[in-house]
Amino acid sequence: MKRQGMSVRAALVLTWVLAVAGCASAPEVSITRTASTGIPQDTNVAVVLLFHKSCLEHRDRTGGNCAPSTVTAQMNDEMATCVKNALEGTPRRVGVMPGHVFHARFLAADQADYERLTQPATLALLKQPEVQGALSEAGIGFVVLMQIETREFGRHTILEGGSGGGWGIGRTSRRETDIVATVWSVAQMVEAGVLRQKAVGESGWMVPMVLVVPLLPIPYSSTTESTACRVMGSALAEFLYSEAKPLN
Amino acid sequence: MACVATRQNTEAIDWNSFVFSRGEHARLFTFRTLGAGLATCILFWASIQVHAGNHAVDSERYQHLWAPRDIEFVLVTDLAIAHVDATSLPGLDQASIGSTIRDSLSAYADAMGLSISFVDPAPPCADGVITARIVITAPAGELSVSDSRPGAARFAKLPIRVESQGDCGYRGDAYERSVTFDVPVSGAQVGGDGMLAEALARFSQELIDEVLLVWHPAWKVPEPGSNLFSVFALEPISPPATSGFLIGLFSGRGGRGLNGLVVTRIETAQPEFRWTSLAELLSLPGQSEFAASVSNVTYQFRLYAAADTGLGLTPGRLLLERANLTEPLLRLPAPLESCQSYFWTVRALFQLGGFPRTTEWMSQHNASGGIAAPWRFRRGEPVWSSWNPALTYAAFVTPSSTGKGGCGR
Repeated sequence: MKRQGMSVRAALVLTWVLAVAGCASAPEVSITRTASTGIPQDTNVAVVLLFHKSCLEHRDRTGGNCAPSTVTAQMNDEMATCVKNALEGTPRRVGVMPGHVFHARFLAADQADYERLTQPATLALLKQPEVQGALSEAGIGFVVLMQIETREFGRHTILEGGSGGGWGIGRTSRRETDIVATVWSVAQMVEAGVLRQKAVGESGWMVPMVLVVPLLPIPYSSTTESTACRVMGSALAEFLYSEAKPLN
Repeated sequence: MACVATRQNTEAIDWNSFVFSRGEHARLFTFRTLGAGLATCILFWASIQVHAGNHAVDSERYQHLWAPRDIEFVLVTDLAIAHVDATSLPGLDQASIGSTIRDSLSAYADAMGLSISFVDPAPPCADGVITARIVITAPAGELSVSDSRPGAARFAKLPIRVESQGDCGYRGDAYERSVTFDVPVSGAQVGGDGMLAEALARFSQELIDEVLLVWHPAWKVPEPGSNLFSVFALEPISPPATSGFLIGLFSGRGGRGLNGLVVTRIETAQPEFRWTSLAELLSLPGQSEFAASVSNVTYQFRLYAAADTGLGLTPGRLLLERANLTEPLLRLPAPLESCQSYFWTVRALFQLGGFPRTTEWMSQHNASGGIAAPWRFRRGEPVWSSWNPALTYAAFVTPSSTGKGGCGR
């Protein structure tokens, strides 16, 4: 009975260790401002995820086009939600348009393939007078181009000690997510700034052991994307609202 | 020394006794561990105090050189050249190193109103002339050129040591720097206006800044009510600075820097920076005799974006620099970003007996519970980098523009 209690305690300790290991941290967002923003009331912001690289990989793998409405819609929605949440309850009413909706409405005529929408290509499209006119008419004041990249590396074996005869063995790797957001000011026809964010965490799995008896393996993963998304969403909201100007 | 003491104490423990979870041995272990820890802290504190005392003596020693007429540099490059030549870096030879360092030192000294000359061989000591040997060397066995990062350009390293010339006025403790610069993979020129010139220009600025500080007024222990900026540096008035090792450690993410620095939350994104004037600093006990010789006081201000190292915040990109400020205040031309951390610092430039001088850059020198002279940890000493004064510039964070408390974190 006593042994069983110790085992449960050991498993709980390990679960707690794993839960902590799965947390992601996000350092401060680095901001380079090149123009003022100060977003006015009733402005819309389009948040567009650029999938140039992953769409190329998608085409290589499946042979199909990287259709925004299917492959990228969910991620565009998630990123837009992060920004929307950050803007919720703020003094001015600001709308957020997800990237796939924005693409279908304003860019599809000029560029149907997501895989060709690199950052320079998208900025070139936004500079076209007819696109700018359509955006202004739709009340879109800013277009945010987001590039996200997640890397996993440094995979190694770990051994965790516990109490009451419990211990664990597993494999873990470092996980990093980089987000770069380029903010395009429609009214000024310039890049207003670039925001950079890196979230770091760990992912892997662990087998909790009680003496020599293995329990069910527990997978864990740092939610670096969602952490980066949340922090970047807040930073974007602050950047758009701010009355800051370039200092030099 | 403190670490050795700790190990000796713990080695005396009978490890077999730990089969008991409670009892005398366990209590003895706790007692000894605590004792060793306490001894470590005392020795650490004592070492800081002793070093501080040494520097106070040093600063007394050079008070007679408070207004030299000239600075003379003896440039020694012979040792390095044979070693560096072996690496076949294009454009990196004795002539280019010598002329580049002379040019960059002269240019920055000229900008600071400092008179310098280069002499060879070294002259005998003369009153009112500070002579320092700049020795560029690459000791045998030390890698001078190596691959830095996979896929990145190589970098070259030139260790430079600045020595006192006999007792000709420079401080006894050598100033050492390794000038590091990227070497293009493409085989482009390193010398001339390339990477070498940029690296030596940075070195020259640091060295000339040190020369301007070659004499320090006797530095003092904290004044009551001002326990952060206890040395010869200006103090921030607004935004204020706060510090505390334990407070900084547990104040949450984004709220601390290395060395226990606390980031002060301010109420406006367009703060007015104010600091103590040099006159106030010189009105402190022990400084008044120099005050009469001070003229042409201006202030130089720097504002940095905070960079997050993962361990804490440090000064990152230089955002704004203003020189020749005649009043101890600066109004920003525009608001700063919301919810962002910044570092700021300021120093006074002045003439003392007709010779240019500066104060230390404003920073906190007792952020870890001890006090360290600001010049102690920047003579090329890589250890204890968290004592680097640049890391303890005053830090603040701007408020949210969306009205969200905690900036949405």
